[in-house]
Amino acid sequence: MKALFMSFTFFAFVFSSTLLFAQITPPSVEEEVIAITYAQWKANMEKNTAESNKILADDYTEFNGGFATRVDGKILNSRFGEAFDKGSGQVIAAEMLNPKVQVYGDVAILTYNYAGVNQSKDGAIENIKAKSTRVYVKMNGTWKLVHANFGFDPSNN
Amino acid sequence: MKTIFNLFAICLLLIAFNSKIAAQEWSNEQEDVWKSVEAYWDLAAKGDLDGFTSYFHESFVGWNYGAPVTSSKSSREKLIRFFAPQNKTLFYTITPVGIWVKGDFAFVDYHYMEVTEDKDGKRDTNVGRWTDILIKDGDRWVMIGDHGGRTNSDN
Repeated sequence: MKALFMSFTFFAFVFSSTLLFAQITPPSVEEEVIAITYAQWKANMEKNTAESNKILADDYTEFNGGFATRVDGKILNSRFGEAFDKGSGQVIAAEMLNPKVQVYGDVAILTYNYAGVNQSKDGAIENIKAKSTRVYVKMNGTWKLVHANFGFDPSNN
Repeated sequence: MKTIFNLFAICLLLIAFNSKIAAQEWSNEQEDVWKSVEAYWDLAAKGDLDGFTSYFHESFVGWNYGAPVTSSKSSREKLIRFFAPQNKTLFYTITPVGIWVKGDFAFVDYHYMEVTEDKDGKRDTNVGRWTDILIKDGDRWVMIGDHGGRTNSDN
């Protein structure tokens, strides 16, 4: 009986330690940068440009499929974001496939296939595919996006 | 005729773009990064594939616009060693639009124009852009990532 009680105590200790460990383990850099990217997409889906742009560094730059040359600066990129949000369509799903995170100290590079679903005002559904590289830098304890290269998926052609 | 006109227009745009960029001043550390980019483009153009691939870091993850998934150093090297010997670079220009440096880390955005010739003597003008992500390795900068490629359609 005593042995049974000891075993129970031991397993209860291991179980509670595991729970405690799970609670206090900070997220890895990989988890952090993926989480803030999803948070940005959530803000995009809500058409909340200010929230969406929170992760951008002031000197953020972007190559994207819509323009031949680079779009420089948080302010200019934010203006495009605001213009896009005025559209009648709605992003109803945004997911990251095959994410890879390379971490070099205060720098993290996130690459992934973007898989999203947009809905037009008349209810039509469109799959959106893209390929993305994001460069994050930790500034004053916060991960900021300093550069992104968004390219169309070749199967769109 | 339309192709010739398009190429002419692209050349004019690149010249105008180059003139604008030439006016831009780079810091010493930005110039140091750009020197490595010029070095590996030069190696690739000369067909020195060992030299060129030595600029890929072991942790490299890259993305060509034409590829559905990312490539590692080994898979990129495999592609380079298969495709590069099939074409000779006759001429190229690379034009930086931004060089971002923080300590031992940098990324460079640039446009390129390249004229190549295949074994049958057929010439191709390839215009595109790249983001190269680099890390300092001794006295040079090597690629830990890239994303880009051709933006004009095949001729």
